[in-house]
Amino acid sequence: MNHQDVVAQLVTILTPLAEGRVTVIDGTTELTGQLALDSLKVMDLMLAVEDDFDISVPINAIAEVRTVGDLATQIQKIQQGAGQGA
Amino acid sequence: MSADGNIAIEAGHATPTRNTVPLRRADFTSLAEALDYAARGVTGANFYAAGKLETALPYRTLRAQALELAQRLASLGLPRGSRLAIVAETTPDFLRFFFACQYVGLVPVALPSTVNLGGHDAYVQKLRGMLQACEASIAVASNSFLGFLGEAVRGLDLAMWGEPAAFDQLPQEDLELQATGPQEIAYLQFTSGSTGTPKAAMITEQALLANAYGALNHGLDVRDTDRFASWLPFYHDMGLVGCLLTVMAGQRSIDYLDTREFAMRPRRWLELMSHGKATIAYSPPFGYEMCARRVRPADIASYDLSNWRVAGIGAEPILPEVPERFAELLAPAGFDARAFVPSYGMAEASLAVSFSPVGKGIVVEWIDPADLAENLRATAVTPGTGTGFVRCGGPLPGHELDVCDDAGNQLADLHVGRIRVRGPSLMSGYFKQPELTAKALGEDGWLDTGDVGYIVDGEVVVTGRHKDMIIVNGRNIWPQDIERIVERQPELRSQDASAFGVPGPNGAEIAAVVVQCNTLDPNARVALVQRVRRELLEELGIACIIELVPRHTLPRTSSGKLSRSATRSGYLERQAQEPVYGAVASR
Repeated sequence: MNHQDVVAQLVTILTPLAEGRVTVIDGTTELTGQLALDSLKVMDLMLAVEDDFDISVPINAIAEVRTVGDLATQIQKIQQGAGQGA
Repeated sequence: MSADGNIAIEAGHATPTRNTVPLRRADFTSLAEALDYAARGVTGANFYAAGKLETALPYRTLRAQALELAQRLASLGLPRGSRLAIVAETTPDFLRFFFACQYVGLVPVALPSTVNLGGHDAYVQKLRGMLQACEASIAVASNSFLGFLGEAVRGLDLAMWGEPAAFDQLPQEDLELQATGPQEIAYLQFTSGSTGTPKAAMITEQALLANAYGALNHGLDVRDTDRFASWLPFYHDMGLVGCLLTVMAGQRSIDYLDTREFAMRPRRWLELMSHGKATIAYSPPFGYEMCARRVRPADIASYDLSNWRVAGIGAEPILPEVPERFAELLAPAGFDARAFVPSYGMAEASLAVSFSPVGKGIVVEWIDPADLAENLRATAVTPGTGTGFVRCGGPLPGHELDVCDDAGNQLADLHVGRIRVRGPSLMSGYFKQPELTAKALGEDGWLDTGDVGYIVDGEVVVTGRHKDMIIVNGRNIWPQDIERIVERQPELRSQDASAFGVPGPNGAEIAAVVVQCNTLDPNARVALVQRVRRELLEELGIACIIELVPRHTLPRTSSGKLSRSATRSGYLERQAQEPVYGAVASR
């Protein structure tokens, strides 16, 4: 799965969580500043990511994630088994 | 993991509910003494992940491991009472370090293990603030958190920091260990106060054990058939005291689920309770709500919650609808609404100071909200009308609870005022914070809880918690923290922000902040709001309504300070005038 595919799948997951806050979600969209995902919504997002991509996201992986693209990169890292700690 | 005793403990199986030694309900003088006794039996703690047992840790194994680690920690030659801070994940290592401290006279301090989205820097700063506030000599974090810890300890004067395995490399002394005594500090508990100025309650062994004794004997009436289950984090008092220390002091077995796994999949808690036939579990209302909201109706029949006899509920105001909905939804799984035991407590009193009677369920007080707001009187109205508050029981034996007006005069029943508590469970003070201690703890031994409520039939009813505190998704948020984050933006100054809670859609509270700024350029305004929103989420994990108003328009008190209540009223008035616009545009 390439980066664009991961981003596309994330956009599908994020669209209902974003509650129409932005018209277009893409790789540069900020998950916090623009989509206002609070800690509960982040849990919903992680659940969907784990289920859809069939991976386990380590607890510290989200600390570096600001944009949709950042999250896609983290997911790819985990998929390649290269998910390193903080 | 193998047991070191004579009685066989089955490997790969959870520790049993029934013990081989008689139940003793926390009649010990220290945690070390309590663990010595628990280690004579076969019960213990069990750690689950993804629905499977990962580790069974019988108390006898825990004791052996803790004693060994205590000998290694002793090699550091630290003064008695030095603090060992540990990033608290739900793991056997947390227990091992916590109890090693008990055997060697060190003071454990649990640090939070929650990182928000994009929250790397904010988390490091938070850890650092806490390490400084407790003047830690040792800091421990698992591999997952070691990177953050490494940044947080930079430049601090610590004797040692590292992951748990690093401490196993220390030489094992063969000293006569002196366990923490009854009057020494058992642990420090960071309170839910503002994160800008962290403060830690000092709890002695005797205070903790007085609380555990009250909980096991009076509050829960614990029996040798009881088994606990918990998803609560060890860095919260309900998780640490309620679901670890008290459980061990009663030699009960407990099944643990990681907090993050619960937050993602609340059904795991119900599965775990069904599987282990657990009889006691606590949660803030928020946890019951998560279950009610997320449990799949098709799964309900597969749960067996018929053994659940104490469903503790507390730590935040209880809206009666929340337990009601949970009970209704899970009744087909055998859940009995009478299992709910509302309780009231705080970290400054070890944990709970009052429990509603076991087996009674939720008792709702229906009160006239106007009389409450205007006259501070609790006047009963027809059930189902007015505002519903939940009775939280009377104080534990040996403890007192009363309600005072602002001048300190004790009030009669049904009069609303500040709740005070006194008794053997109370903290000795806030660590190295004499001024804050003096403010909270009077010389006469009364703790001013800051909470507001009244007494009826000897039971306490909490109508509001600390003035100004905002509760979002079960977490305490202080307006000072929101204002600090807003005001540090380069285009703003101090006293430019005023934060408060407002009712959200479905009745839950949401945070709002009104910000005064000169900027008129729409792009700059959008950028400011976006930046503030991001930093609030990174640091506090909450979404917040952000409203920009012109400079010099935030209302002030007569003494010139910003008035949160007047700002809130103004905000709500503006909302009422433009209900649709305001709500959408500002979020």
